[in-house]
Amino acid sequence: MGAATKEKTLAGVTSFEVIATTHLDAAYSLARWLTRDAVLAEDVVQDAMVRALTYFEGFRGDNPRAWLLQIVRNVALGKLRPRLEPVSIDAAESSSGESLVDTLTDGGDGPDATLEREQERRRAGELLSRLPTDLRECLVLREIEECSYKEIARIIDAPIGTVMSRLWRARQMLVHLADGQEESR
Amino acid sequence: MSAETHCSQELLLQADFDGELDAAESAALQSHLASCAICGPALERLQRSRSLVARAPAHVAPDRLRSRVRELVGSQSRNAVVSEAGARAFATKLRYIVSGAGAGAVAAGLLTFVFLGASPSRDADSVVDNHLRAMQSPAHLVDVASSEHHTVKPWFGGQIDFAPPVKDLEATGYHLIGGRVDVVDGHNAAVLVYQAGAHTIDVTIQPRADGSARTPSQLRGFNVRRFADGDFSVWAVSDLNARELDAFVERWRSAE
Repeated sequence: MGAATKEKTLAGVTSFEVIATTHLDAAYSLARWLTRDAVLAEDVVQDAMVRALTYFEGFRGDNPRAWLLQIVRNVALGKLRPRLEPVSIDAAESSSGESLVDTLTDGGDGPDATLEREQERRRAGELLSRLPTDLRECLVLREIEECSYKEIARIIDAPIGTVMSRLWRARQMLVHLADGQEESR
Repeated sequence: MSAETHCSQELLLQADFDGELDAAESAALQSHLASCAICGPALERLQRSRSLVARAPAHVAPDRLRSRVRELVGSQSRNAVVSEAGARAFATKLRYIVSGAGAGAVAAGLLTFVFLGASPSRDADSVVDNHLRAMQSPAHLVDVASSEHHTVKPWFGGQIDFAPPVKDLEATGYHLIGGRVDVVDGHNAAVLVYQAGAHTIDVTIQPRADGSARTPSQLRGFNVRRFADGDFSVWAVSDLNARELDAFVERWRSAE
């Protein structure tokens, strides 16, 4: 069985590659929303992949996406913790600028409509960035990564009841902030 | 915000909004919603929050990160790397040994691993291709049109050399509209076509070569699920959203 064990290791690594590449966008998106910083998000994903690769042997194969997102989330929070100072809204805004350009590929209607949509995107991103991390992560996992309550509970290591109440608070706060944003315009 | 009134059902309202309730719970919540002065506006706020998040920019991994991750993963496996063709040849040989020896469980598990590494997405690719082609020409959506699984199952008998599980999910809201035969990875596959509201779900079935669920969960905008069912390898492809497709797969797997 010696040769076979070796083959299994080989194939195991290859299939980690499948997991890593398949869920890379989800991993980056979560890291990005948690850190609110493009550069830091890349570091987080890279570190998370290294960590995931070392844990992979003990991974039983159920729900690789949630498994990977859980690692990304833990690495991201670990990197955020030393920098206790809150990220200012301005900083969050400027760091999300580059990806706005990336997503501005859908033409078809005039520059005004495109500009309007860009501003809408920027404002929505800014609102989401202003939520406290523990609320923001629940909302991002639910709405952007489309995770179930059970998956979110696993990823953030909290009971489902906590997930539900944080989601509720996140949504109330987001709408509240949006109301404020509209008034100030 | 603190001045707002609360309803004891608000978290249930939200759970329903998130598709987390079963049919009975959801129905109970809906009847509460019809008569609650707090939950109506609360639902509107939930909807508003969803459309706000939907408008936020999508963050896609930059190419340089993608290639760095590939490098990282690649460097770990380089020592033991064989070519894709090599892995496939090995898998084929193993399949031969396995079938000859009456399928040892360990060897079968190993086969799963190797096959996975060999070409994880090519099969998924052709399953999605088949789905797309069928959707684009309604005449090719089904070769046998019937909602009766007792009709569809024998029909496959004359077309292919295995008897796929044909499951009746009518009771759970998925309507069988028929079946067809596609080709995946050079072999015939039985396809069952189900309808869920405005959505079409293809269930593609082949005798099991590699019963793994690790397949891209999304391909060209379609959600894809892969799983093993008895002696069969099964793909489910649809434009249903991820959670709805998961729910379908769960139902399909638990049905007889």
